[in-house]
Amino acid sequence: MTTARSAEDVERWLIERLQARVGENAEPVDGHLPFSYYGLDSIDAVELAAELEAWLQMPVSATLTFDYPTASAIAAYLAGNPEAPPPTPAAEVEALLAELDLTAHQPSPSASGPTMK
Amino acid sequence: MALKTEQQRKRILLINPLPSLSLYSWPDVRDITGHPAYIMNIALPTLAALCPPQIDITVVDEAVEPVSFDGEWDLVGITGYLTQMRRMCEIADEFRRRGQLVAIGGPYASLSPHVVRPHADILFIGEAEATWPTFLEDFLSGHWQTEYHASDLIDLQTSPIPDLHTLRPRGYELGVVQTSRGCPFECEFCDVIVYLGRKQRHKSPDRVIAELDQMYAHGYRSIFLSDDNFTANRQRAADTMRAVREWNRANPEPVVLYTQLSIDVTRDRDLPLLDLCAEAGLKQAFVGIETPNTDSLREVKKRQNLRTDLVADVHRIQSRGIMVQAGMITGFDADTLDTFALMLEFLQEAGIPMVLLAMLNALDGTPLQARLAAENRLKPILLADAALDTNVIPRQMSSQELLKGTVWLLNQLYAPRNFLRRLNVFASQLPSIANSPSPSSPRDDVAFWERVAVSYSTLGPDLRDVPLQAARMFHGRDTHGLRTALIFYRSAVAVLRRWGIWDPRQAELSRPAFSRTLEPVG
Repeated sequence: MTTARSAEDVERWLIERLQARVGENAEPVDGHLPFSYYGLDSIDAVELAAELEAWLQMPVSATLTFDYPTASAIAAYLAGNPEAPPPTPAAEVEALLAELDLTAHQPSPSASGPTMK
Repeated sequence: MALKTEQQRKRILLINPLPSLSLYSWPDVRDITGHPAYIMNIALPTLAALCPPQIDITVVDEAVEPVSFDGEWDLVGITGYLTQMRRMCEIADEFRRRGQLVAIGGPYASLSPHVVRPHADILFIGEAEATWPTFLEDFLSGHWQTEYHASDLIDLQTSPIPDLHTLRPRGYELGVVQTSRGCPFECEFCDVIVYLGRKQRHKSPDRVIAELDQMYAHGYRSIFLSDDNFTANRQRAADTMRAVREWNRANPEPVVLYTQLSIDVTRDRDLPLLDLCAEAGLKQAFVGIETPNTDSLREVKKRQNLRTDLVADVHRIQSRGIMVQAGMITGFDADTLDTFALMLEFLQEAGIPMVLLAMLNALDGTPLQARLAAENRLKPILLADAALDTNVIPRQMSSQELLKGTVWLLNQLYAPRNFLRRLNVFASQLPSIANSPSPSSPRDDVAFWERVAVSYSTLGPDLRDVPLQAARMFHGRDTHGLRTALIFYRSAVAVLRRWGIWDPRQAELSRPAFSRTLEPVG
């Protein structure tokens, strides 16, 4: 399930909560450092998930911080991190095959399709 | 009569739960390998091979396919390592909620039975080759115990050949054959020797070949010899590799082998065992290097890594066409704030592209846990959730410094330029194809390289050219190491990004930006 809020909004909210926890005079909270860095234990983690749920007004797993152990990870997960449109990899494929001396071969039809048979 | 026989049939579901995310879990590589999961687990096919014919076994590996909680089973059995603990308990609880009988066994249940006990109707502690048949006999008679405890370690030769028909065909990139269990060394942090013992037990070369034959017949051309330390008994390892070399030479398509060994494989000056391994087809070895800090190695009794030049040893292995994959640990007592940068320098110089880095954890049953408990240096966290945490209170730094140093080191190691530099050192150590002692990998596997290029092209501008730049380093060299390094690097990037610690700013810092403004945790 994803939220209508952006990843930046969710990360900012989490960072503010963590900053309040460690104190305004401590070093600025870094969204790429694990929650354990800021001393969150398992009870704190469940409480944080509940607060997040109330703020987002959508269900949030109580074990969210175990699976996504940083503010950045939670934000990306909840915002759904929209994938970039699929690029056309023909140039990369051709260049790599040439580098490996495989240019005599025709590109396989399976390259951009399903890989499992 | 037929009806009676039908009534006696039992249906057992055996489950290998999904591990939590880590550098050991190989996420996001199925679009490159073409297989749902990276490495096979043969524990459940081994149990299946021990079942009498009146039992129907279904094996589900969650790395390959999802578990369905519907359906009626006479028993649901679950295995797993520490990294699978949370999912193991979740699955057990859900089946029990639905009124199904649940048994749990395997390495984690054996080492931490107190954690598993509340989630299981029946608990297996220790190797199951002896206890599982006893249980099945009890089960068929309708009267079973709630706990089966293996009193002795088994004779490995009596372990059955795993029943591969229970696994999904072509479900894995790597097949698995186990030739021995146990390790004679006594590293303080290691729980394998607690579970499998220090007296190494072996299968005969003939038996190993029979299992390799079965893997080959099931289509596997990459096989992991999943020993705890393949070369610990050098005579045994040499006997096995001689047989494997002849077997591999007779194969229509050569098989590539992987294993785990210790760095002291290089201690003989003329390296006959290493040559033999290469001739048999060994292309990759996981080595527990742990740290270049000799004080730390001494502290945890990793004696086999002392009194040697680790960089030169790694290069000796690589010069036989074997890629070294390193297990590394931060947070030993002798480690200081300088250790992180020293570790990076060592790994770059040694040219080890695949680094499995973790913080020191004091696992259940280990001498390390006993020592730290006596020193009042254990944090009360659940180990299974410790992918980015540790239950160890470090000695010469705060817990925050250990975390920040480790996150910095992971970002440095997997910044594209540093990964490519290590790959270049490795490539420069490789023999030319003409002089390689081992069979070459197929270079012309066009579909594989196309999938690599497609997969990396989705990773953004900093990473999409990594395969191309890497391929330039391997002219005239066997590309097997390049293949697995690129599969691994794809998964390492996925892990760091999904954890949210991927931070290119860290890769620009010459050392971690330590700050002492936070109070130590714990």
